[in-house]
Amino acid sequence: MNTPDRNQIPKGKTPDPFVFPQWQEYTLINGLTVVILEDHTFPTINFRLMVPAGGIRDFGIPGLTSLTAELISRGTVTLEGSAIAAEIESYGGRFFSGCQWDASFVFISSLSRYQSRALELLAESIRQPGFREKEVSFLADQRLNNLKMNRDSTSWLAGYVSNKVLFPGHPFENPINGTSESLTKISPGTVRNHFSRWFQPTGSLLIVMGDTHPDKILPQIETHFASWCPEPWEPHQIPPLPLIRHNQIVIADKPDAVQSSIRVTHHGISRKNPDLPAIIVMNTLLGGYFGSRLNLKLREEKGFTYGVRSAFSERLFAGFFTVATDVRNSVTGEAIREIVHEMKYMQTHLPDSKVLSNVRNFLVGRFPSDFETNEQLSQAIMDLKLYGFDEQYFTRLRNQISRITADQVLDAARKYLNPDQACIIVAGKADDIEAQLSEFGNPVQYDLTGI
Amino acid sequence: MIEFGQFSLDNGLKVVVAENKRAPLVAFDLMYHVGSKNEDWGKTGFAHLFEHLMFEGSRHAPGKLFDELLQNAGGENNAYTSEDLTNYYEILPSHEIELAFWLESDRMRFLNISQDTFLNQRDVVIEERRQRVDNQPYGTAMEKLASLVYTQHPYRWPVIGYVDHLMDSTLEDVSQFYHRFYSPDNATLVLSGDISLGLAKEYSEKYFGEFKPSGPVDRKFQFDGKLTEERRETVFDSVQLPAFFMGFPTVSETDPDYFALDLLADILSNGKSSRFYQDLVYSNGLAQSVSAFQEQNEHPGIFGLYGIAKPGISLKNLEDRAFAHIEAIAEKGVSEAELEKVKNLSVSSVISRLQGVANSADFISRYAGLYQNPDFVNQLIPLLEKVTVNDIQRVASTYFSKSGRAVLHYLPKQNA
Repeated sequence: MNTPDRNQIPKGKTPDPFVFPQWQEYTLINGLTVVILEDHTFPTINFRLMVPAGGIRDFGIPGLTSLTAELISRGTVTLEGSAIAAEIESYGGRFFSGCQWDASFVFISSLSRYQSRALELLAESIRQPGFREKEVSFLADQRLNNLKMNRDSTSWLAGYVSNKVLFPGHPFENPINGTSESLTKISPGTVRNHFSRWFQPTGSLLIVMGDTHPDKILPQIETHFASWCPEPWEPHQIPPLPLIRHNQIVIADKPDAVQSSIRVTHHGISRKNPDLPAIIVMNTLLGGYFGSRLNLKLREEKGFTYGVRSAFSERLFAGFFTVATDVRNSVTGEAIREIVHEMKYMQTHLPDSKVLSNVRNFLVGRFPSDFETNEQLSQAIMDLKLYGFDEQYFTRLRNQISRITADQVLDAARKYLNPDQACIIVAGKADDIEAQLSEFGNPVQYDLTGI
Repeated sequence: MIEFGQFSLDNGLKVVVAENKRAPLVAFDLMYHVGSKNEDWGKTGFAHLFEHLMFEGSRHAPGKLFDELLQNAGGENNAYTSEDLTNYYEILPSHEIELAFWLESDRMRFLNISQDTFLNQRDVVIEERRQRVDNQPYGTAMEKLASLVYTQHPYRWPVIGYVDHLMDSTLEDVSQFYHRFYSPDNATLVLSGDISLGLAKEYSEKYFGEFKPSGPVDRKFQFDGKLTEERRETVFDSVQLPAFFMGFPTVSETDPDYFALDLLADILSNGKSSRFYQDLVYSNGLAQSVSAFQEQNEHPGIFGLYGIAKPGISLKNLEDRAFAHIEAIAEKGVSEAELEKVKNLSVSSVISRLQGVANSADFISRYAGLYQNPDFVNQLIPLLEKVTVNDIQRVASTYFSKSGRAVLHYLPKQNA
């Protein structure tokens, strides 16, 4: 038998080059882009329509874009939502729609032998949505109850209060699904107006993935979508991020909590930021993977938490940076002290060269696993189109990450982390944690009535 | 159809290889046939705590080297524990796959845990329990339901365990558990992705071949019979809306009735056209959400129902209306079209579980490791297709009775 020398760590062989999968792309006369990814491994297909209208368009009526988007899959002028659901589910498929901050999407899937009908249902839903009174009030009521239920989740409360503190007066201030005030006001008429203003073929993208042939499906797409005419519309200005008071210490009181949900947070970056490769490496070192400084400290050394993560939200318009964790009540203050310490450490110390090379290798090596399934590929292509990147973007990003230096990491930490001005939000048991927070400033309790 | 090769080493380690070159990745999935049902009362949560310790260093890869080496190779890794099994996995670029053999074999035989790391991970697991169970609305419902349905079988306690039991565990327990369950003859290795059968054989022999088997694991369990009474409990919790949870003891995933029960759950609650959604959520506005599920376990599991009532709705009324749907199916059956719909949904769901190397390795390892039958992944769709409308009606009238069930009500604390 070939007995191994266990003291010898196996050396890897030569890696295969990273190749982003190829797709076929067409543009219809109305400006709709169509991407087809043919894959006959399994007898399934899905269609994903992306419309560049996200929650950021919610001016004055929080949740309106998301409600509008969700209603698209709940009935057309001629077909009830229940009838459509019964039909698509009988094809082994799913039909749903919704929105993120930058875009809305409509998704329909089926076993591939039903693909023509699935495409037809998608087209009818986006071109002639029903927006019936019953559907609008049903969804609004579901969302109102969900809001009510969320009040018992400390992690939801911490996120909610963070957005209130970071984005006063800006669309990002409110939950993307709406507020108890806005949801009671939205009528079918409001939804129809919002839909005709923002849900247009121009800039939209239809991704077809799975067991199909372009020769077969493209003519059907032409038939259903080419006559979807853009309406004239004026793009509106997105307001800049609000100026806010720094160093706010805010508690969302949940008297029976046995853990504190902590957020150390400040304004972030746009997805299009040119320093993104360095920011990705820097954030990974700080709190972006299991071996990060924060996780090794708070979980593996101190045993305070099941896990801690830091992240920059990825949005077209600057979002936020946050460190998020849940810790037992008695160590809330100490955990925050460690978080702030680690953020400052990143700004004052060059990363250890071995740790840096480890993180670069980790990020570069795991790259292909982000583009493995059809689902992941369609998300990646949507991102390229939404943020205006060319098709070499991911290959380039991987190469850039592989070359990030210690100096670039330090620069990124100094430029994009802001520990001295960060706001500290804690949802938990105020009686147990208030005194622990006083070393960071003057904690105030957020008024949770009316959520 | 997933095609694969398989072989066993002389020491009993079973290896399954599902080669596919779609991406330059391999998932390495090492499953040990030990879960929370192998624990003793008083030591609940130990199988899962042990899983955490497996990341804390072995003789040739001490300290944090396990994670560091994998990260440096561009790999990801994790593990999970269920009632029946513990599954460790690495996803690596294919040119680095030998590292997974080196690391996993080292911790199969040479695990090295100190008192400090033991105490640290015990704290981490207690925080995991707080985060996932104690600090979540309705977070304790599933463990309470299981403790009502079972009185004998170890499925009566949760995988995460109870805090006082975790606090009672010691480093000595670690050593005993390791020697009892962590051996090649209690493990199954599944490799999915860009790796050949030949290379898998070479590395398996090289890294695992010299280990001695430790002999058959004692697998004696006490089983519960059918429930012959209704067991009810009310819990006042930090929740806004009242909810009910209902459980019936049914069958294991290898029982001929398993697929009919699984499809019955889909008829009740899978999708917007399901009976629960249409009646209770959408048309009549009784429930914020309502669901049915059949547990997938090695031993007889629970068929469960749960529903969250809308404000102002009587919880008892919602509970009765949900149960009445099962009674209606027992009495009148379902149509061929309704059964065909849920079969198609299940086929799509089986297909989606085969996509990606990590997903497919996990899927295969369950059947390879628990039943020595990796081909079960290919038999799932034919088995689903065989279920008839008569089967659905029969299981609906066999397993469900008001005088043989457990029911929990969760009510807002302020109502206490």
